[in-house]
Amino acid sequence: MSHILSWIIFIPLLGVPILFFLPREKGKWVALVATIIDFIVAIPLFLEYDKSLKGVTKLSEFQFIEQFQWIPSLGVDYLLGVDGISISMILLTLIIGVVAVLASWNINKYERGYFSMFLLLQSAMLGVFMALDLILFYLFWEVMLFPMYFLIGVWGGPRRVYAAIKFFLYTLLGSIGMLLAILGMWYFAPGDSTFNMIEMLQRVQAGGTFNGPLIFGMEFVKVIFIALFIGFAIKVPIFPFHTWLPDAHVEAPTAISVILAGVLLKMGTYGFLRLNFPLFPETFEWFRDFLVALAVINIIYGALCALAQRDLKKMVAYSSISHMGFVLLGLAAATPQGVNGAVLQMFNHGTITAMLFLLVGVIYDRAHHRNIDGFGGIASVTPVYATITSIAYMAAIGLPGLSGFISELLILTGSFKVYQVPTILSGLGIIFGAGYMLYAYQRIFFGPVNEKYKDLLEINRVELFSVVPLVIIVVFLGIFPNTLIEFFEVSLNHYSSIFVK
Amino acid sequence: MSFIQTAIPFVPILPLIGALILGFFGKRIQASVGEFKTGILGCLTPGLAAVISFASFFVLITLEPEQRVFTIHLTDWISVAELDVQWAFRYDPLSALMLMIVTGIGTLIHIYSMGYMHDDQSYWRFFSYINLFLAAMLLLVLGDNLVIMFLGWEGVGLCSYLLIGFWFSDSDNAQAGKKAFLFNRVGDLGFITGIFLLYLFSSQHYDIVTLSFGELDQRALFLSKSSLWDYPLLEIAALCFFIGAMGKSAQIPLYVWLPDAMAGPTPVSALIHAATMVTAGVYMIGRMYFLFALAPNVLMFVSWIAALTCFFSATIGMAQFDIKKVLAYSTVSQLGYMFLAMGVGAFSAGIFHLLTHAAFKAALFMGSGSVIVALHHKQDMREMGGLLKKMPVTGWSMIAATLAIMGFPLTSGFFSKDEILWKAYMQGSPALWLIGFTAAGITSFYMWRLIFMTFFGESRCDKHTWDHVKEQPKRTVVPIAILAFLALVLGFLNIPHFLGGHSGFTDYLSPVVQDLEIAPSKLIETSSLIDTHVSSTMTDESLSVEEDHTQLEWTLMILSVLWTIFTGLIAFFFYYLSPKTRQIIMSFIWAKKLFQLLSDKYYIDELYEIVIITPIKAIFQICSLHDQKVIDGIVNFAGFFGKWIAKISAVFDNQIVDGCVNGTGWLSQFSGQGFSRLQSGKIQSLVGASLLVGIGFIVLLVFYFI
Repeated sequence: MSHILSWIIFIPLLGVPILFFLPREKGKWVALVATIIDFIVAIPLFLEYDKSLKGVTKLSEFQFIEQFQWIPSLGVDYLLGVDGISISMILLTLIIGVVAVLASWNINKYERGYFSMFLLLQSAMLGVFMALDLILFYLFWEVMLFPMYFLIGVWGGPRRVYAAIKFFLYTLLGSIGMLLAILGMWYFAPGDSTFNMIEMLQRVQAGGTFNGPLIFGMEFVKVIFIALFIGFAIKVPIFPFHTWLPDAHVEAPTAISVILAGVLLKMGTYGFLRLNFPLFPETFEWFRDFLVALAVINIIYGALCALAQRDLKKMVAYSSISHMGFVLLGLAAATPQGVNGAVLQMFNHGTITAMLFLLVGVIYDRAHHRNIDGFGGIASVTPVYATITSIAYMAAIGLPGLSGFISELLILTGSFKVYQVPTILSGLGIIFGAGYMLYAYQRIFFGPVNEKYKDLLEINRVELFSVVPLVIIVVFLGIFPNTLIEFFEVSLNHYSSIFVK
Repeated sequence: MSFIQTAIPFVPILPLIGALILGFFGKRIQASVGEFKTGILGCLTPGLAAVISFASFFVLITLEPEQRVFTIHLTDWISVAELDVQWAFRYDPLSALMLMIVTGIGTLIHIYSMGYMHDDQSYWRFFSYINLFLAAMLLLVLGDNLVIMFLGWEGVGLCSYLLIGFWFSDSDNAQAGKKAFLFNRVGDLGFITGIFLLYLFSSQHYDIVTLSFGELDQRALFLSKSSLWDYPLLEIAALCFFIGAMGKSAQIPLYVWLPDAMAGPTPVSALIHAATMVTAGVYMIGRMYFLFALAPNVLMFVSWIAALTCFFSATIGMAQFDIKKVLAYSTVSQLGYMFLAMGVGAFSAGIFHLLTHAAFKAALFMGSGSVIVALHHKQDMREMGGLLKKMPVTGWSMIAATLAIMGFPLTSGFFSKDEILWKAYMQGSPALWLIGFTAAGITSFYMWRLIFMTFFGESRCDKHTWDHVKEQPKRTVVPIAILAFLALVLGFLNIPHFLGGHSGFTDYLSPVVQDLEIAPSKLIETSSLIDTHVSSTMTDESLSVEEDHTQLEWTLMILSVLWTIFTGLIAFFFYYLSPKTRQIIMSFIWAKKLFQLLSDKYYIDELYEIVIITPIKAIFQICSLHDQKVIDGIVNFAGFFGKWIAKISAVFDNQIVDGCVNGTGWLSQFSGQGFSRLQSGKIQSLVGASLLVGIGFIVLLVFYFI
């Protein structure tokens, strides 16, 4: 199929008009069919993907490229392409899309609105991972934020408005800086002005530099680097820009939490990989130690905050912050193991945390609260749910044999080469991680049965359909991680060669 | 493909299949075919694995010693750039031995569990977990590289967690499981740091790093020349691995989880917390003896930690009343002996003690389980007594195992423990020997105390229970008897030279594990000796060295035999002959105090609570508050401030700007109506708000990083 990338991006969007011709209860079916078709359409992408091409800084080695002029007067192109950095993220987005539709099965308020926002979000996320033109990238990026705001603000929990506004303001701030940075990069690009980010990367690789003026007495590249960094850091999120995340998660409906944790957080680290670090390798060197510090803070601080939570969803949200810290650590190390591990961790965190949020959703739908101390002994009431939850928690803890371990191991081996002490400190995060996960598990599932929940319903079929595929992925990638790693290894080894000299 | 290469991968895979079948369909299977057949299914896969293990062993010993190492590659696992970790197994004399211990004792305990877990609702779940445990343990043993070993290492930890908390409706059990997991995690951080260290330095000098033991063995000498932070690399790495061993094998200071782990069903205590999992640390050192041999300082450290663990946990064991707690502290203490052997470089002696301990401690635990079931789940020895008449098989088996653990002449413990004490004297120091020697006496005391309190004297349980006490069914007692028999005879595998034997066991291990011939302390003194750290064969010279010490060896042996018999007699006197004397002594205030100190385990748990747990709790509360109050405080303030400014500016627009617009024609001409509209209203509020948030962020940045 020609134009496969465009098809993948816009198939979800094609579902939106159909929503308005069908009864509103059918909305979920439209969304399900759209996301499944999208997945099926994308299969050739993964089958025909050439794993030996480097991509990253070489436009000729990107695959499935689509390019035509969009705004010729400004030199903006509609430019899509895929390389090792994006391929696994596309796969993740497609999987999480289907899973999240299943998690939306109980939505019964303004279904049309919900699913149209949902499908728009899905399209935009896929677009971000494929766009190679800065303006197109920025457009998808902004389009992605807008439905998110409504999905939290309209379909969320009691404090949804506060959470939505907080989310919006945080990300708006990031976006403003990003837009200014993009304009600056365009204007002062090495050689002719261009929005083509790969072209820019190629020129930087060839020795080109951004020759902008000093801004507030700081070097141009450093200012641009930091502006971009903050824009992406808010998404990751990196301390101290992280407090929107727990609120957004707690208020968002389950499916949106799944997307938020599963895909949206990866936008930030994807941005680092695609633009921020490779475009400014020297500035990256300058920033690197600081980045490691941030990574360690994220890992430990996130885990400590998770230990203090009594709301299960908030705990999972903080665990996300901690786990995303590992991605940062791998990126900061910039060794082949570090960056491969980081991208694998992006994928694994997406699937594992999606599972965790789905499972929180299951219990919340039944008990209507998420207080860790408000349950007890339900392992004997709902054994299947308890078993699946234990697998998910163990994956989050990083138990060997499950996927989370592989990525954390790669990241830590990679970062140990460059930063020994921070790596060992990060190890503390793993111990704390076991602490909060086991604490929560013990309080909820073990002990005497709480009389209030002795008739709790077992996990139902739709919920199983959403969780079990993720369980399978997590186990499979724990045993055969190379099946995924080989998709991006060549690209990321090349990426790492930009830095390691 | 030889038999070994084909069959060995099935050893861990079979129990795994069993675990999966029982895990997914166990409930239905149990409902349809009943408990007994479910149990048979549970025993089937370990049994087959045991058959393969023993068959492979007999194939192995027909080969020439130098051909006894097999590596079996299955497929790739993790490969990125120079890192290339394989799914591969290593079958050699050491892992062959461990396979037999794990599958052999494992199978016996599975059979035993069929009786012990009788009438438990989650019978199937128990067998599923314990099958899974076997699979993980076998992976640990068979793993050809550090990462697979770590997989098994964590896997057994998980199963231990699941099985300690098996009766999870009691919160204490679940708590104990969590404690075990977390203490192990601390050790695991050490283990994995060790992996990173070896990887880091290996990757600096070689193009490919598989982390396999064969590869490490080849590179160890080269790596020993590297250093990190001015310390020899291998010393740091060995220390890291030993920290891992401290967690898994319950050495000071990470031992406190093991006694609590007795909350699990007794077969679990026997299999996991006595015979197999807790000895993983010893196995690991044996597996990487080449690395530890190059780290003499760490070996010294190991031997001292081990000796202290051995002594202190033995003393705690004297003051426990819970029959399983006595055995738990005894296990910690015996693990101390094994590490003592490892620490003085007598690797084969340590592994030999691992073997004999697996037999006698499993027998003791299973015997105690048999007693506990007979008494309707009473574990307090103060409510036992006189059980030998009613439970002869259990009783005599436990007595046999007790003879072994005290080191009574010609039992297995006699050979293995004496070898350790001898090596501790020769290659460690007389002080190490003295500690181990004292602990041996204490061991004999608390074990005979256990036997006399449980099986002799008057019954102290209520009449109803006493009337119903009976010997357990065959499937429970036969495995105990088999292990007790092994506990008596296994020692003959390794009769030392001075007693006219051939040290057959040491020879058997020699292709893969070679003992140090020089004391670690001497290795430190003469670093030039490092290059000749391990001699490939016993030289004539070293034999003659041993000749010279025969007399000393005899003396020490006789001393320890007399000493253990003496302390055993003390127990006999206090707990059988004359309990009155005991009561008189115990009425002294100092005796009470001492007993209290021992039975409260030197207040180590309380110390952990104060020194580690409370501060961590405080820290995470502070972090959480910091998030809520400080960071969100700034964010909310920025939002609030922004809204306020927007309001003021709206007022300003309406009243003043618009007033001016209306009042002065020149301004309206200049700015224009449209522009004025754009300026006022919502858009402006939004821009104002976001600018203010921006300022808020800059404040945040300044606050944090400048």
